[in-house]
Amino acid sequence: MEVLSWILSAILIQNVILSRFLGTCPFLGVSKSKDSALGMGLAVTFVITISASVSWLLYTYVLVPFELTYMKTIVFILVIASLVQIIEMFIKKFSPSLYRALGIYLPLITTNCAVLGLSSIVIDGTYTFIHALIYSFASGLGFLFIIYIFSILRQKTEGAPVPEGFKGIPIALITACIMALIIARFAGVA
Amino acid sequence: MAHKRKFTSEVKQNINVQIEEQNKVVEVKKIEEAKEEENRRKEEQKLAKIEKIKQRKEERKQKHQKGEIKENFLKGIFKENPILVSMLGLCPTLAITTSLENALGMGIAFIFVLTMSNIVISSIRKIVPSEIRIPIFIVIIATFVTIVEMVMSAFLPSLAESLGLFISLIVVNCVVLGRAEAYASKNTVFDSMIDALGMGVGYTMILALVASVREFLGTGMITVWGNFVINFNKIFGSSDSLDIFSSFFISPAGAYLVLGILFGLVATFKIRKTKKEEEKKKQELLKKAEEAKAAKLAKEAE
Repeated sequence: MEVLSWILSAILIQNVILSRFLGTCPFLGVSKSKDSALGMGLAVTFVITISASVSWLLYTYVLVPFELTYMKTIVFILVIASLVQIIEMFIKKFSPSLYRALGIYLPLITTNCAVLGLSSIVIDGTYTFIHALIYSFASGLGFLFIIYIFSILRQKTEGAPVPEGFKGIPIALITACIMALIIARFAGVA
Repeated sequence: MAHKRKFTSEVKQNINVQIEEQNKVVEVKKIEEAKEEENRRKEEQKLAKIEKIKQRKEERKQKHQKGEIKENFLKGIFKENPILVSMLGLCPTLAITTSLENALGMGIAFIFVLTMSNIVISSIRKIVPSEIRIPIFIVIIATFVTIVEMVMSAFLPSLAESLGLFISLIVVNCVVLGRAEAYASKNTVFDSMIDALGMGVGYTMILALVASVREFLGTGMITVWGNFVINFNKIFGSSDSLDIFSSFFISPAGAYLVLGILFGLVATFKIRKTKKEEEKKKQELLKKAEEAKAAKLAKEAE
């Protein structure tokens, strides 16, 4: 039951995009078509899970014992950048079809603030390793869920009679506003 | 015979010694000449450096006279505003604009990080190999972000708490890395400093605008460091926030709405401006055509 509540709160209540405001750049930039949104979402889920758990291990077993916690931002960003590079090489070698699907989105993830943000969230002391692992995976799923729905909504609003100045990004932001309102209602469930 | 041989060998030795001495003198002379040449070169280099610096100063003066520096600064605020035009760095724009105080704190931290990292990156731009430039840039930016984080948590702990994660997330702010890659890695230190200051001020202005709209609509008052700037509720004699102000604007959904409307208004304004310009051009063309016709008619009449 506890695990289920972790997952639900990560996906719905503390959604990465709509309530924590992390990863807004890819949310608006890569949501023009369903396929690219799906690819980006999968790549983020993949990287977020690995990088958050590696950051948790590094923080608790290296940075805290050596009293280097002030270095966390530099260490985490290096971990993420090198992880992205390694994952890219790994996928390229072992699954060319997956590489073709995710390839373009992987380098973009280094500057996705959802990844660094989650790494910083899971080390605040209240998370155990398993909790951090599940929470970061579920947050990635939350990102995937919202960006996929958003891409479908954006395709629908493209043909809608919108004032000329509000076409494109402005109407997308207002769509996101309505989605955030719906997500905010889930706060009472927990 | 033996005596003669001895004599000749002595003479030979003498000659050898003389040759050696001559050689030594020549060597010393050579060394001295080389030293002099080096000194000359150094002096020439110094002169060249001084001239270069003078040239740069003159260039800067000329640029200043032409208003290029001003333009470089102002382009970050209007023409190439990082939020309104390039739509970069939206995460903090949405997340920390719940109050004007937060927006200003974030803006100052952002200007510091952007300016310092641009200065450092542009001063080492010729040494950095292009294959690994991005990781190097990120490490430089992360260093300055860590400095800001530590200073802020020591001297402004309440501000650091309300900004939370988003101070450390300046590292992955697309604007900072974007300016490093697009401008600082190709231009001089002075130019990139001005560019960074312009971009930083432009970014802070939009943050402050969005934050004051949200804070006012959300609570009916705007406070900066404990002092009221505007308190709309007091005008109507109530100490709590009035019913017309809704906490919706402070919630995440309100952030998306305010930013969406702002972008929409900016785009509408731009479309109107271009339409007006096009109409002006059309009218000018029509006038010219009419004038030409009139001239032709006049000629025919003659």
